[in-house]
Amino acid sequence: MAHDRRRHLAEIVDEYLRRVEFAFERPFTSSWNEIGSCMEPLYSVFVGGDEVVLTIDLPYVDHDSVKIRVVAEDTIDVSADTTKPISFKDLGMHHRGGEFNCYHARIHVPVPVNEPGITTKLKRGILEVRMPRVF
Amino acid sequence: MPAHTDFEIVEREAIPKKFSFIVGLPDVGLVGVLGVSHMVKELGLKEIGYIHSSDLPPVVVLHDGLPKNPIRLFAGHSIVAVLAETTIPVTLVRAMANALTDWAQQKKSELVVCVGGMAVQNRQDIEAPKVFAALSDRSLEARIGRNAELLIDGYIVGVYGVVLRRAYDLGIPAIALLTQSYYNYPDPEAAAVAVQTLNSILGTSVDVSELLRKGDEIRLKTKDIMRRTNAEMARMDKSQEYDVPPLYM
Repeated sequence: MAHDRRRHLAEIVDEYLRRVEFAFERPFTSSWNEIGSCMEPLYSVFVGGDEVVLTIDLPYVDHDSVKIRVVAEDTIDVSADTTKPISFKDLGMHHRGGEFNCYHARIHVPVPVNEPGITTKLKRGILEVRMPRVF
Repeated sequence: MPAHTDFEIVEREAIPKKFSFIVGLPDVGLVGVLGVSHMVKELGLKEIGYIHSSDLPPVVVLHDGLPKNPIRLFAGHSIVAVLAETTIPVTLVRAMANALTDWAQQKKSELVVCVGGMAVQNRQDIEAPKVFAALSDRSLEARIGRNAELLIDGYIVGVYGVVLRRAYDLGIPAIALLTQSYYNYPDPEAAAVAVQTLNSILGTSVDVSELLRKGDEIRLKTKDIMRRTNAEMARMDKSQEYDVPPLYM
């Protein structure tokens, strides 16, 4: 009985700590920047033996508008224009007035990469960025 | 999280006497949410209830100007569908899965189908995603037929895995129907394939052209719930589904 109560308390404390940690990890943020008219896309980074592969979900984007820059040893900057302006109304949100025409993300890359060797491919709306690693 | 939660399936209207129970929760590629949501819309399923728990985040979703619970039940065409518009916190996965499975048993559901994605790294290069089925009972193989490949070995992490395991214990026929998809991007194409497979299994004829035609719009509309789902999947170590089980070498 006492053991059960201790376990129960430990679970409550664990959950509380998880929520506190989560709150500090994610202060109020939004992927919709109404002031800059830009959206933050979904992305993921995979570190392989010879290269880093970054994929980014970019609906309504043509490959020609994609711009990639290595802005620091561990950061790359990705931006792209949408093929048409997108408003919250288009997405069914009639009480918000923002309109968007670009994506932008500053993405942490955990290992150094060689900027001149970067290649990109846009297929099915997903941008794939291959970056050779620098050793 | 307390070991005992108060998960409750609230029925606001009568449940059909004979039905298949279709589950669409946020998961890999949002395949279940997109596919089941599309079926609810195309078949005109009627909202008949919701899932309540005081442990769920205090979120209400507005539809047609009315406050709704984000996890709701819909029924029609001998189907009861559960659809979530919010993520399920990892601490509630087991309670949620048990509540769904126990309710399916209590209501004598003929079949439980959990609709989800199976992440593949080369999804961009796959024109026609394959569908895999994990079964609670090998006698369901006949029902699957050639509509999906059987999943023989591997891991299933999250609500669907727990539902399948509990269904196995309780003797309820259940299928986890997993379509190849992106891991962390909404995948309407995979959802369309999942719905076509459900059509074959359930005898429905839901048209999927809108899922394909509105792919960009759907991906944009669902990127926020995908982002939150990604965070929960990381917490539950969903990537274990990529692993190879070590036993029976």
